[in-house]
Formats: sequence, C-alpha cells, structure tokens
Amino acid sequence: MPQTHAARRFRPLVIAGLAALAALATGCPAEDQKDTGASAAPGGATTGTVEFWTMQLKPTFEGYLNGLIASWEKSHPGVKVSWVDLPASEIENKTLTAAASGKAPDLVNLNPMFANKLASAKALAPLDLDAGLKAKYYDAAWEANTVDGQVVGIPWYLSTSVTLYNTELWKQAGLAEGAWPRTFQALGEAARTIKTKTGQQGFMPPFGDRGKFMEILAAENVPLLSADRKKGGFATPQGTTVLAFWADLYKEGIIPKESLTQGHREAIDRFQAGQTAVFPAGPQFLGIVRQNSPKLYAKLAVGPQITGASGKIGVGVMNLVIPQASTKRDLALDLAKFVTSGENQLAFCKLVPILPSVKDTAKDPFFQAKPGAALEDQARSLAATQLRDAKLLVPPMPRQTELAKSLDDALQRAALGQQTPAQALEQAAKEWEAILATP
Amino acid sequence: MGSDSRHALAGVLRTAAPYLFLLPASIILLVFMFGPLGYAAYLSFTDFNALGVPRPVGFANYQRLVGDPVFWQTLRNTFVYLLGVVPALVVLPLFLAVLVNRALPGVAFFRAAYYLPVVISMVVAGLMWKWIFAENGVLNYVAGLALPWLATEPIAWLSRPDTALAAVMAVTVWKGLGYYMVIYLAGLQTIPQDIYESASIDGASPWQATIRLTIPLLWPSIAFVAIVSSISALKVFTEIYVMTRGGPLDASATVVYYLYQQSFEHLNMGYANAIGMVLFAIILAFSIINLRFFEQGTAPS
Repeated sequence: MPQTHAARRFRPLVIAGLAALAALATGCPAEDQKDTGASAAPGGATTGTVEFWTMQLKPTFEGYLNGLIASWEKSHPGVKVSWVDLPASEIENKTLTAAASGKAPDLVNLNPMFANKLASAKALAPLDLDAGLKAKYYDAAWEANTVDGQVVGIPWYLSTSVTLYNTELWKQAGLAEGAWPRTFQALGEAARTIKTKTGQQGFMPPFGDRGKFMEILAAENVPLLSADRKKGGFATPQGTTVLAFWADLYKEGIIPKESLTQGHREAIDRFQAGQTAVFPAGPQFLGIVRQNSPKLYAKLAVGPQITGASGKIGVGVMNLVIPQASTKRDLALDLAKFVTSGENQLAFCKLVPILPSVKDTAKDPFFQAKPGAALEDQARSLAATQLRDAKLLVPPMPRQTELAKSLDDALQRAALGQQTPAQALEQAAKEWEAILATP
Repeated sequence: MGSDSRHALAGVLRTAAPYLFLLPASIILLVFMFGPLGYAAYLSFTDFNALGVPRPVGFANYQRLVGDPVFWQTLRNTFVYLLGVVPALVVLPLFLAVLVNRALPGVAFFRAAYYLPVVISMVVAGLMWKWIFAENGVLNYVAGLALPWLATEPIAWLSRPDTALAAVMAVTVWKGLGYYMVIYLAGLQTIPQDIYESASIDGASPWQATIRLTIPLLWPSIAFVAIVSSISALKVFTEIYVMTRGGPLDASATVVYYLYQQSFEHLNMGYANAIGMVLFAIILAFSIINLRFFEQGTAPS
C-alpha cells in the first residue's frame, strides 16, 4: 500500500520535526540530558579555556587581576583564562541568560543575594571542599555561601560599612564629635536633635532598596521566620516597636519623605550635597567623596557601623561561584582557591579599602591604623575590627525578593498612616505564608 | 508548446513575485516577533523560573492572575494613565502645532524648543524630574514662592500614593508634546493655503476655520497620534522604572512594570508571561477599536 509506505518513509522526518519543536519549546532539553550525563565527572577537562567573570574591576584593577591570572596559568600548562569584566548592573542578567542557555562561564563573581537565587534554581554547582577550609574564613562570609546546607561559593572580598559624619552639620546641632550613635535608636534621637536645631534632615535611610527594612528587622533581633518556617515571625510586639519607630520618624519629617521610595543612590546625592549629616558607607566610598567634593571630605569623620539591638554587624560579601553548566569545574575551583588565597587577598586589599574573607589575613598589621592616620586608614581599620562581630543578617531564604517586597510594603503602609504598625506586620506575616507556600 | 509553458511560468512568477518580495520581512517577523510570541504563550502555561526546565502547570498562572490584587491595581493604574495621558497628547500638541505653523520670525526656535524634550533620553529626563518633584525640590520651592498663601507642607510628589502616578503622567506628557507636535505640523503643511483664503472670503473667522477646516483635514494625523500614544501609554515602563519603581505601595506600577518585577526581580517567568499575554490581548483589542473608530471618522471626507 503506497499510503502506509509513504507514512513509513516520512515517520523519521516527522519524529525529527517533533523533537526539534519540543527542543524549541522546552529550552533545549537535549542540552540538559547531556549535562546530567556528564555530571558524573563534571570537572573532566584539565586543559582548555576557563572563563572567569568579575564584577566591575576593570580598568582600575586590570593590572592586579592580569598578574594573578598569569601566575595561575604558569602553574597550569595548557590552560588559559579568559577574563571578562562586567558592570555590576549587568552581571545578573548576563549570568541568568548564560545559565538559561547552558553556555555559562566557569567562574563568576556574584553577591550572595543573587547567588542564592541561582542556587535555588539549581543553576550553581555544589562545591565539594575539604572540611578544613571553612575554619579559615569568617563565619558570616561562609554562611552567605551556604544554601540549604550546601556550599555553593567561595568568599572573596568583604566589606563592612562604617558611618560617615558631616561634622559641620553634626556640630551645628550641638552634638559632640566622637559621641557617635551605635544603635538605630540613638541615631533616631540624633536625627531628631538635628531636625530641631538646624531644620535639616539628619540622614536618609534607603528604604527604596529592596530588603533594607528586612535587614533592619534582623539587626534588631526580630525573628524573620516563624518557628515552623511557614510564615513571617516578625508580627510580635518587638517587631511592632521597630516598625513604629521608623514610621514615626517618617511621619514627623525627621527623615526625608523620599526615604520610602528612593534608595542608596539618592542617599549618596543628599550626603554629598551636604544635606544630611550621617551616611553609612564602605571605606572605599571615601575616595569617591574626596574626588567629587573635597570641601565635604575635609569635614568628614568616621564612626562605627550603626546597628540594631542585636549588635550584629552587617557584612557585604563578594563570592566566586561555579555555574552548573560549567564543563571545567575542577579547574574553576582551583582558580577560585588561588584568587581567594590569603596572600592574594592581602595584595588586593592594599589597592582598595576592601577586607579579606580570610581571618588570618585580616590580622596583618596593614589593617591596624595608627592614631592620627588618614581618614581612609581609620575607616579600613574600623571596618576590619568590626569583622569580628560580623554576622549574616538575613540568611538565604526561598523567594527572598518577594518576602522583602512584602515587608517593604508593610513599612510603607505604616509610614503613610494607612495601617497601624501591628496591622501592617500582621498582613505581611500572612503574605509571607502565601509566598512561602508557593512551590 | 515551449512558449506555452514559458507563459505559464511567467504567470506563476508574476503571482509569486510580490510574495517573494514579502518573504525576507516575513521571515524576520516570524523569527523575532511571532516565534517569541508563541514561545511566551507557551511559557505562560508553565512554571518557568528562567533557569530550570519549564514544567506545564495548565491554567494556574491565569488563575493566580485573577486573584492577584496587585495585578488588578496595576491594570487600573494603566488605564488611569491611558485616560490621563492620551487626551493631553492628542489635544495639546495640536495647539502647539497651530501656534508654530506660521511664518513668524524666529518660529524655528520655538519649534526646536518644544521638540527638545523628545531628544533627551527618558532616563535623564526621569532623573531630572525626580529632583524637581522632591520634597526639597524646585517644584515645591517655586510653589512656595508663587503661592505663599497656600502655606502647605512641601509635597514629596513621587513618594505619595495619591500623587506619584499623576507626577509620572505629567513627565510623559511633557516629553511627548514635541514629538506629536511635529506629526501635526507635517499634517498642517499638507493643507493648501487657498482653502483658508476662500474660507476667509466666505466670512469664516480664524476660529471657525480651525474648527471646520483644520481639524477635519487633520483627522488622519489625529487618528495616528491617538493610536500611537495610546499604545505607548499601555506599554509605559521607563518613566516608572527611573522615577518611582512602581511605588509607593504599587500606586504607580503599571502592568508592564509589574511584568518586569515578576520576571526579572522575582524570576516568576511563567507568571510574567501570563501577564504579558493579557497585556497583548488588551493592546490588540484597543488597537482594533481605535482603528474602527477613526476609520468611521475619515470615511465621509
């Protein structure tokens, strides 16, 4: 029968077409299958090119990184490193699209919030590290790399923010230089004084940045999750007090109205324009102020980080992670260990006021400022001392950005007077329950 | 025989030729437009999170959409935005165009000045307006000087749920005026002057001439401006991203902004694609209604 004959002849074609269509529709499962097959020996290759992505290090640190790469390549014959530097604003989307298309780089420099997002989506390779390694690093830095008990990154450099003071405005309000606030509570009082004495707004909390309020709750020792981790645990009298404190500062006009919707960028502008007196910043920010407004720089003083009742110091961590799609995981891990080694980090820290993630390196005399040292050195020394108390304020959680948005909304409702602080937190706790229940 | 088949071939070619010329453009459209559209439609029925393998979830995303108060709020915001911005962008540029459509000395300067905001990048304009709208910004300062009897507290325009969307709308109108003015200006210049001459001989006042002659003759331009500005109003994103990030309390978030937030902030790509499909349907319906309406308007002339 000619008809069935034709059908048989065309069947392979039809199947191939369907397969192609399916591949198109599901984002290349063929690639995925190959990947799981290869995962028995993911590190495989010992030669070839290792692609290494960093965040915003060119051109300032080009010499340093090229030096690092050259000396690593020397000890690995047959291996080349292809270094790509991306702006901070682009690295997330680039990594995302690369991971989705299965053509990921081998080693990427990311912050924990985003690394956590990738790890929850199973896009990062779990790292198999010797048990001794953990002890070398600061706990907070290490915890930031652990998602669901699985290590997915190696901490590179750290930064703890210090507090910068515009002493002119500070003294105008009759406040004593050196009597820097240590808690948000004390900061609020200082801001109130500044407002009454000078009419200026003492500082601008960047609540427009996603998750800022969640961080503050954590710093104030308010539990974020309930005991069963199924809903928000912050709808307590303690949480209500914290929210009421900020909502009152807002309503009384002690912090700018823009605080609710604008973030760090806006806060920088205001501080650099001399409109606010207090600004939390990493020590590296001092160099920027010196360049942008030397007049303000001359008036600056440095104080310790302001935190909540917990006394926990927040720390910013830069990670190195290996995407699941990498075919040179062993080499990438080796490169990561080399880049983050104590001596290589120390050399990096000498170029820019960042802090090492390795404990021993932070003990180097380089991090101890002598009395009367330059502002940057004071700030570096202070930041390094703070590392001892550094804690990861917000542990990695599933659907973290959605949880953070829910709390940001609660803050806005309370500050705008739409709800009492207690009501706002109760609503957010319920929203958390729904978000956490979403698969 | 030979010439017969040649004739047949020529006939086929003649019919096929237009389609052959259409082919390259169609392929590009297919690959970059309808392909992604189909894929997006497929993704809207999955739980795709940008990284994993999409798993089909049936109508779950659409069900969630129906019960999502934020989605309804952003939809409402989008229509408020549309109803506020489009009439302003249809009417105001028309007046501007009539004003600068004269042989006044130095009129080129005014034309260029009104067009200037169009040339500025939306990001730059948004940042500038952010400062103008600030609690301690220029707008409050000027209002304080000009209207001292008001003596209200300065308003943080972009940080209040009741003013944020209106402030963003004002920026869109400010930025779009010049662009639509130029379209009207082009339309005005195609109207022959002798029509106005005969109208004035017939005793029509300039106002009557504008209402009875200019507007009907400009109808195609008006239709174009209405359609283009309403499509771009339904898709508004940059202003909001730069100035308010949808806040406070999603008061200035539009559907496109919400879509962006769901996809790139929360990585809920499946859900975001469902939002995209709904938006696509709305824009399609809107364009069809618009076209019908203006086709009827142009028919008698």
